Amino acid sequence: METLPQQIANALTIGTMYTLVGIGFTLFFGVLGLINFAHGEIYMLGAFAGLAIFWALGDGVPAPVLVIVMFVVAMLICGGAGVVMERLAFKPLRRLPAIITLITSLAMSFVIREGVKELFPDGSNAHRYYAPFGLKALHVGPVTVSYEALILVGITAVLIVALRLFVSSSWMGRAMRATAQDREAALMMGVDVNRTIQAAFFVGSALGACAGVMNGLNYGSVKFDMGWTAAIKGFTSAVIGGLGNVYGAMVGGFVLAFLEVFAVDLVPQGGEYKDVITFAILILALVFRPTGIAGAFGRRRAG
Amino acid sequence: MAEVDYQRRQLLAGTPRSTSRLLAERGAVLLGVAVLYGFILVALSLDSARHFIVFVSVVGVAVPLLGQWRLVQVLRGFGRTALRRHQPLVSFAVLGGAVAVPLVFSGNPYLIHVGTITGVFALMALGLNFALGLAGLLDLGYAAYFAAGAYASALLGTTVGLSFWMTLPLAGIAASVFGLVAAWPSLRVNDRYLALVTLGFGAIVELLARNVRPVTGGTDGVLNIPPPTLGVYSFLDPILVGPLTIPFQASFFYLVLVLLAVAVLATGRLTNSRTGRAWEAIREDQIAASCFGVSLLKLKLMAFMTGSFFAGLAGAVFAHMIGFIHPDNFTFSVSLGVLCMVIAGGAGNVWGVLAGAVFYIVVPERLREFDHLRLLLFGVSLLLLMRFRPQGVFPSLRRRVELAPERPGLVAERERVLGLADFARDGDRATRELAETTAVVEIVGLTKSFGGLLALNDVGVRVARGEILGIIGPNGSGKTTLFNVITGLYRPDCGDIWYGTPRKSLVGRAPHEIAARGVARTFQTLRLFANLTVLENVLVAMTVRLKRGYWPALLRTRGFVREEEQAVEQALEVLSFFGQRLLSMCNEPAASLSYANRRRLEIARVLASEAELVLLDEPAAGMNPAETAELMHDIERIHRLGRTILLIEHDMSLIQGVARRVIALDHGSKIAEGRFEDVAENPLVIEAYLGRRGGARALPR
Repeated sequence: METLPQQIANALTIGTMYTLVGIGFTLFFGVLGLINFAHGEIYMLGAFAGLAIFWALGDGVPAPVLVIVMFVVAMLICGGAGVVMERLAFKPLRRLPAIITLITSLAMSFVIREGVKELFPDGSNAHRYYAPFGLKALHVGPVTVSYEALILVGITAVLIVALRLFVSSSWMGRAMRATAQDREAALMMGVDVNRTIQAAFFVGSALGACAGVMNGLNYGSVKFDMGWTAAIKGFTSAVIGGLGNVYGAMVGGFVLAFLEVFAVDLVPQGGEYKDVITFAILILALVFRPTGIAGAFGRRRAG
Repeated sequence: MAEVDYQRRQLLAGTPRSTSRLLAERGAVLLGVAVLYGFILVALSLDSARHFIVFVSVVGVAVPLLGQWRLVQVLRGFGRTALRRHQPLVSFAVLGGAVAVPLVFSGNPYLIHVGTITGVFALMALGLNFALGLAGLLDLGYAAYFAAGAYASALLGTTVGLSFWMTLPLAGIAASVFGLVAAWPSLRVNDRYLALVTLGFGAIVELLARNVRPVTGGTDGVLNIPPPTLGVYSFLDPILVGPLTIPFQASFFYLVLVLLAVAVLATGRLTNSRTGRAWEAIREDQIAASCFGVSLLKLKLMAFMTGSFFAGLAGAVFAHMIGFIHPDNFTFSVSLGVLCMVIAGGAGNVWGVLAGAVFYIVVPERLREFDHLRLLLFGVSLLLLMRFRPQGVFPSLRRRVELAPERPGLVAERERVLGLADFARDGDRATRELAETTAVVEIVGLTKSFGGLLALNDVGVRVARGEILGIIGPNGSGKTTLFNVITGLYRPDCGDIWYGTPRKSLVGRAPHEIAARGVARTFQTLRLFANLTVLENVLVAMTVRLKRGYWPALLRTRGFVREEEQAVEQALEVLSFFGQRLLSMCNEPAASLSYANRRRLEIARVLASEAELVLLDEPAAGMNPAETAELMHDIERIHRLGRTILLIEHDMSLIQGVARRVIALDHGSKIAEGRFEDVAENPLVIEAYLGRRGGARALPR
């Protein structure tokens, strides 16, 4: 049994990853009415892109530079991958029923996952990840926090503030919100809807990749099948925050993380049932609170 | 009476076919099935994976290339007609071929085993076909029902010691209960997230199987599941037929075959019944379905439970065949595989789904050395299907009725024979008797707002039995909202709608309950069931009139068969209301109709429902003047059938032509009521249409 402050620290750490993945889900749902299962695989791709950088640059580069390069390259690669995926897989299906795009994204997720398993060197096994601080950690009274976790929380805070500014104040952010409200009306108002959708995919995928790298840094290893769980958790965060509501997703991940951490403690043998708890939260949220805790999102086109 | 019956049969009988053509068609069916089996057998008997890949690619390239050839196209057209006409023969040929497999391959138990596994998955795929193919509900947790059946049967068999023949139906029931639990919460609220809820449900079931060790054995699984027995004979004994020894795997093969036959039969029977049509109507357009009396929640749950029942049977057979079950047998990849089978085969089409099962089991089985690519195959094939052929490789064959070729003068005769003339005369009398004596609808103080917008504001009106009431008003004045409130799609904020004798309130009733009370409508933005045939569209509208539902259809009771035959005849009768315009298209999908014919089909559905109160929402929108004139005539004929009509229309000539009384709405309020001429001169109405300083004297004609 861990102490309360320790649990809060743990929840904050995993909450960062859930939140960053959840934002992607909510962005895609907003602009396209799409539930993109393949987003978890973008997260996995991000982790592997970081791994490739780690292998390529090795220990010859100072740790801060290496970490920054890992994040930036993973975000750029996956942002691009997200845009390409949208262009190839989802754009041709835009006028078709939601069920078809849903199945497409499911298929896409299997293709990416199995593709990495087959094509990445030794892809079917887990890989050790870069650990800039080794086993060193910060001890504050009874609470132990790894330095990686501190970096994670810091980076997430910066990204969320930046995203908030982007969505609320930038021209493209406004275009995204307008497209989410009503795609056709936005089109008629002169919004370049295609570019807006691409921008949403770039931003969402880049944030997902960021979470993937964070996962590697935090747990010290990555594997090709890490995306599925991440997708479920990210999607659940987005649902808790209200699908399509970007501000909601920013807190949804932390809510989910806290629920999980405390539920695991309350339920006997909770550790074994951790994922059951997540799925149960997802189902309860979808059935009883499909509009999210904020409860404020407008008309959606997904059917 | 007998004579009329005879004449009806003549009119509805199929086109006379010559004996030689009949034989040729039957031959084509048998040949086609034989060729199909040949392909599968050759593919299975190729030893190396490389040969198999070459064979499959050659066939895959050759078939589309041959299809370019004119002669092949003609043959294919012939084959298609033959397939459609000789469904029973197709079934027997496929079944016969399957029965022969263990006899032919008695020296190859492995192959029979693969056949059985294919059957188990085909059974699951046919189950999913009920939810996904027919009702259009995506279920991503299908492995959960498979698991429920397998564990239920295995645990009852090992711990309680029940025989397999007891546990098999119990497994089906257990799986149905799981289906209910998975679907009910999300269907009750809204089915937009059904796929995700079922995905979560499937994952939870798998995790529970892994972790609830005292019950499921956890990751040890359930061991030593006894094989089924029949008297002294165990399913693990070889079968001796004369000099032939058939390996024991054949017993399971035949068991699965029997269950598959049951599933195919059940699908066929339900599809051509009130239940199956309602499922497909839900898939096509939920709102329209509910407005014609389809109870959405009930039917969706029925589709789910029927489907999961078969998945449970599949699980039971699987458990007792392998003798050992493990949580790894019930992962998401099972759900994904079954999904691929249904989608690839062509959702809704039994033969396509079976072909999908054969493909997705046999191909990976032949490529065992590349087994790690199995999920990649699922993913890539789904991706390509969704992009290029979302309706599947073999889209469903629709049932057709065959009509006699039309001769000049037959239309009038048909009207006479089918009793339409009587129908109209009776209607005339009914109208005279009841005309304007009693109010059939009384709307009081109806108010409905959306956010800050007051769409209906204290609207009240009485409609007499047999009256045609015109409703006019500019766009956004609340006309369609009024219809939506009457039919139960919206719930009013306050006010009441009294309907029928004895008078009862419609407020707070669900759309399908209101439809059952005798209210039917058309939709301004056409809501036809696009992929159902014209005839099926009309049959769906008869939902509230048909008494015999799920079980009579499954058992094909005599009452059901009679009712179904009558329903088809009445549907044709209704279609003949518009002469040949719809009747000649009765086997075509509604999506293929011209615009005016779509509007006519909307009206035909309303007629078929035999609703007393008919709500027509801009029936003339988009019609040319000739078509509008014809429509006016049609509305008068409907009126003579004794129906009470509320008519929303912007075409003032139509309103003036048929409506004896008119109300005008503006910004949700009733601003005028009375004869058309008076309402049209009303300054408020003119202002509503043209604005305060418009200076126009009358409405545009």
